Amino acid sequence: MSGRRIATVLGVAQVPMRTRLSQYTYADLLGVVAARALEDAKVDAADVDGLILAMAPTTTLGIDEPHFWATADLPGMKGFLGRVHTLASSGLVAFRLACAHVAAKRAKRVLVVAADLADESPDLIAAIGMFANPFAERHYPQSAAAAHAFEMTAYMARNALTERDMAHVIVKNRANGIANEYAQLRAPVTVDEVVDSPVLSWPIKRADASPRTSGAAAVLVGPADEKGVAATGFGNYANHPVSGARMVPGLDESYFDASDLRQAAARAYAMAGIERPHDEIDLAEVYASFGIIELLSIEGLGLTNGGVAARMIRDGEFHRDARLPVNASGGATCGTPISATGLIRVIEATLQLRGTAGARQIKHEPRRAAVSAIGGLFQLQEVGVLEA
Amino acid sequence: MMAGSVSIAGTGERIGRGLPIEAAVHEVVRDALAGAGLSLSAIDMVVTVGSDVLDGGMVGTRSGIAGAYGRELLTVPSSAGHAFATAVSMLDSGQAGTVLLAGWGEGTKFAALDGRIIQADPFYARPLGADASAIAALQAQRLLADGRMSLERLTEYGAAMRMRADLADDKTAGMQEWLAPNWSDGACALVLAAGSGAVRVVDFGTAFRPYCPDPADLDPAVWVREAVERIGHTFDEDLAAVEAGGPSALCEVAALAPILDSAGWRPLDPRVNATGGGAMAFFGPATGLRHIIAVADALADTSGSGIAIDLAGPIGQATTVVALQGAKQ
Amino acid sequence: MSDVQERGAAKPARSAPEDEFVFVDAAWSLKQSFRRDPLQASFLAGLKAKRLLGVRDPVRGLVMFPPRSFAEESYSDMSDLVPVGPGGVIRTLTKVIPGGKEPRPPFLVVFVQLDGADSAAAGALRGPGSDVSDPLSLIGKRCRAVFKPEPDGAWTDFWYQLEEGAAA
Repeated sequence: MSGRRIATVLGVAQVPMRTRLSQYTYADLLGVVAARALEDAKVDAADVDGLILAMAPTTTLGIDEPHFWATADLPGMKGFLGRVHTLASSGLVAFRLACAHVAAKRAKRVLVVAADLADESPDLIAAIGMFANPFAERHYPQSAAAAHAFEMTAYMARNALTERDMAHVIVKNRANGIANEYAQLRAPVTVDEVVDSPVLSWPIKRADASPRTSGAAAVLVGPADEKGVAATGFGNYANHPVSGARMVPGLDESYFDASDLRQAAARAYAMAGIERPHDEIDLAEVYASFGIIELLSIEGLGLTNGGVAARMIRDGEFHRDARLPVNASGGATCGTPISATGLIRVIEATLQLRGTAGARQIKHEPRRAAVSAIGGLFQLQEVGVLEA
Repeated sequence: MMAGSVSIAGTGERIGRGLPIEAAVHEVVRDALAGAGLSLSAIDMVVTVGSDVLDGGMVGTRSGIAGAYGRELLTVPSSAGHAFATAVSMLDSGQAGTVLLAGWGEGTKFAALDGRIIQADPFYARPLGADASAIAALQAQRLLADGRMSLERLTEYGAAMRMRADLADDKTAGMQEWLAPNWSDGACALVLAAGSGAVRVVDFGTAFRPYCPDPADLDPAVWVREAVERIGHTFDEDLAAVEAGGPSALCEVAALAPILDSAGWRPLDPRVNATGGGAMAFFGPATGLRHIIAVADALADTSGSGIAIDLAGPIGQATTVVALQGAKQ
Repeated sequence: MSDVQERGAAKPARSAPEDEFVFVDAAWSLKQSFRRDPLQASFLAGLKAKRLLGVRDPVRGLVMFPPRSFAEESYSDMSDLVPVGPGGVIRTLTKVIPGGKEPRPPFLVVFVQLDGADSAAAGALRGPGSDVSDPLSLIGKRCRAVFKPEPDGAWTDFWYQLEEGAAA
């Protein structure tokens, strides 16, 4: 059963992701992807009547409220509908908002743009640390690596997995990235190389972590009755930031078992008319800045049919040539401009559903894709469903 | 044009100086829910607006203070108008049945040092000294020099708004120079629901200009007209309340002109900015919620119509015009 | 932020290649003010007295440790302080490799759900059994909060040690 079309993806664009894109300013990047998305859609700038900017914390950019500066003369600027900021899920939430405005007949052509420059701030930790309440718990490392190490350790213990078992998701993604001309990392990596890479916070290794990435993306959204890949479902779940309260057996173990992402997915699947995601979803693009997040996301999205994602990947499932590929693009493992990463998941899924993903195209004709992105430390879960 | 029917069912507001902001948010959320006769469990979705930089904390991950836990959440920090638009379109498109829209700002910090210096283009504008005050001064100079505004009208309006702010129940409101915001702390919440309710959202329209618009394009009246054109409804006959809130008195009185000229009202009509507009409180991008609430509260139990204008940005260039209608038969 | 990449050692500032321009070299300087949670003073005073205090959520009846004055989960104020621990169960952990020039041994940070509490909180694991070669084996083991002889009223006043049977 198909879901009801909410809105149509008319055009997509991204730039090749790199550590540095020194030839562009932030505003330039938005202009480049905006123009390319319109080209892809064959739509004139004059016909764009809405614009949304996805932008995560702006301390990394050094400019507050960058929508005032960087949207100047972008298509749809006069119909600017807002900046979305839900941290790393911003791109996907912004896409959802664009679809809602179009479905509500607020606008007919809404352009979503996003960009991030990884090297504008020399000290990313300090930049983001400006928003940390100094009275909050400070007695243990608050890094993203440590935060996700806690998840990885619990996952390994619960499922009797080794560090080698956990490395396969990274090996899969890095192999996938080779065929993605937009990926930042396009060289393979072995299980040994992942396991032997420097420890950031055990068991998280450097190779588990996504790189710091500069990049940009744009999606043009139009009404549901137009031709193209359609959004058919969205779901979201806001958890609270106290991770320790989400580690309790019998009460709330969402930090360990992605039960919050599962609820977001349930909302999206209900809207999209999906009852058995393991059977009805043909591919997934999930935002995961560490391998453990991808494993939890695959399980939270219901794609394992009860199985353990790490084991299934080790045994060949979810690879690009499998029945249900996850991150055929290489995912965030191969590059993740924070503000755009959620939008890139939409773009990669769209290209697959269109059959235009080039060297990374999956072989069977996919009809339905799940996309997901996470904001904060595994806190804000966003899920979307796209259909060809 | 609105696709469906959306109503404002409850509101809550707190403003002051030195507000414990999280407690203030809890209070306004509870007030809005009580006004709507709903418990938090009846809310499908929360939309929040605020400024990370103003608060020193990320609005999105902090939105549990507004009841986001377990619900769907969208954070649209650019303006109250944009957040309001988000809530309405989510309801209109069937993605939610009830939305709690909340915003807050610890604006008093910017009274000491205006943090908006970090918003302008770093390559061309900031080296020239562009910041919010400079742009606002440019706007004032242009509007006064071009004769679209008179100093007398502006001074009279500014003084009247300060009087209204001082006379309001909350005695913590301060004085406002006619160019500078009255930085305050504030928290607001509204419950919106699909279907009919006490105050119906008729429609809304937006307009936008970048940080440094063309010097010939600095008149909020032009932006308001643009936003109004997107609204397919006229409401001159039963207009009962008008609110415009922005970073300066000049911005407000310019923005009000098209609405008031059409209705034949003077800027000092008691039905215009009854609580003093921006002179009462300015707490960053969430401020516009206060003006939507003021109109909604004025229309409750009436059949009149009202307009709220959100003027966000250093010169009000993220403009949203919201048209509301009291639902009493 | 799940997207921050961390390095174990401090990274030297990278200078731009000679053919690039650096247009703007600036830093934000913003005044901020933060409020402490109203219960934090009581919590820290408790530590100084070698007591571990959680707070009860009046709606859910659950005890949160460390205490906070508001429960987002039930949208209710919390003020009823309740003693918890000192024993508890390790729910998860990480091994932190300290940065800097001097070699220091890695140390374990554990999340422990103390007895009587319905949430876990982080702390250092020290003492016998904490230097196991297989840290995963510690998950699910019982441990105990141990205070320093003269606490200061700070989080560093206590750490966790494995309980006797668990250290085997």
